[in-house]
Amino acid sequence: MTEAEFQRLSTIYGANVARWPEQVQESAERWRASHPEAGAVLREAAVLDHMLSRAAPVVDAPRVDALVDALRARTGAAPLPWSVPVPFWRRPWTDLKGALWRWTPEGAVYVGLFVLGCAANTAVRLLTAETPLEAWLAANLSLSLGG
Amino acid sequence: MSGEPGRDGGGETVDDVLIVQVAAGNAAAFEALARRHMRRVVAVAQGVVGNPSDADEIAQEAFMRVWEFADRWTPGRARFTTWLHRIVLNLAIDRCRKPQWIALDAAGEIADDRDPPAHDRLARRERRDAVELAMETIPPRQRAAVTLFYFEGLSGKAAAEALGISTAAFEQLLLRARRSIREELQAGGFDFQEGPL
Repeated sequence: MTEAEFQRLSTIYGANVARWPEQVQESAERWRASHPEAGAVLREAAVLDHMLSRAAPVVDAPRVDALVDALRARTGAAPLPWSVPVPFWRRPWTDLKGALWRWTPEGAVYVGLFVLGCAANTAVRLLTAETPLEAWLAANLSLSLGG
Repeated sequence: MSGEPGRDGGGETVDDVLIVQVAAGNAAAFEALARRHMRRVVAVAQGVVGNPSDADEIAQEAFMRVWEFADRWTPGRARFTTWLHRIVLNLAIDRCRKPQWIALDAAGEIADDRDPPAHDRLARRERRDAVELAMETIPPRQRAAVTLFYFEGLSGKAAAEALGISTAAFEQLLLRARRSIREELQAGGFDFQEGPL
């Protein structure tokens, strides 16, 4: 890197070398470390950076709220529920993949609880039955056809 | 917009989901999308046109275009924020072509015990006004470059994409803008060797 290049980049991107294009940052840092005059160049750029930062427009929350309210009125549509389905072919793949990963643990818990419940139900029936299971099944699940 | 939407991967995913819902006519998704990006959209518009009321109109118009043309946007092809910035910048630069560029409104400042002494406040106010006046003297596209890079903190690459130009062309815009602002400030008596405070 030359002094002219360093000067040019500081004029464009300001004093913060971290905001310069990535491909020149390393050489710029090397040049700065080996050239004392780099400090003066960056200090001068920093003055303008500072002044520009103070001139940035300020947009406060009430102004944002008012604009969003005005937009709602212009679209003329009542807010719809969040559950309005989006066709799956229009959904980004990352969204579907993310949902799959997100709900896998919860799904496993619910399925596990269901299986445990079924097993417990069967066990209780077996242990508390006054009649053998075969007899209970025959009494409760057989169809009486006529008579 | 960090914490600002659209800068991180998560923000982009949320934007992608919302814009797809907007395309399906979901007004609630549209409102959420507008709320996420309104501050930045207004700030960018105001940085270019200078006038808060014009900036508000531009911001609303930009979001109405999003509402109207959301179905033309394809997830994955480009970042939503790049598309939104381009809409805002086109509207703002078009607005500047009309002869209605005026100085920023001088919003009243309420005195506060925590504020610095009056003469310090006045000096700071003068410097801020001087920069705003210097911004008025440069072309709208240069103002857009300054706004995106310095006010909104976009990278040079992202700002160039938002303006629809190459990085080299963006550097030229920013170089000319900073030189012009600096010359204006120097002509107004500001000494860059002394520093800002």
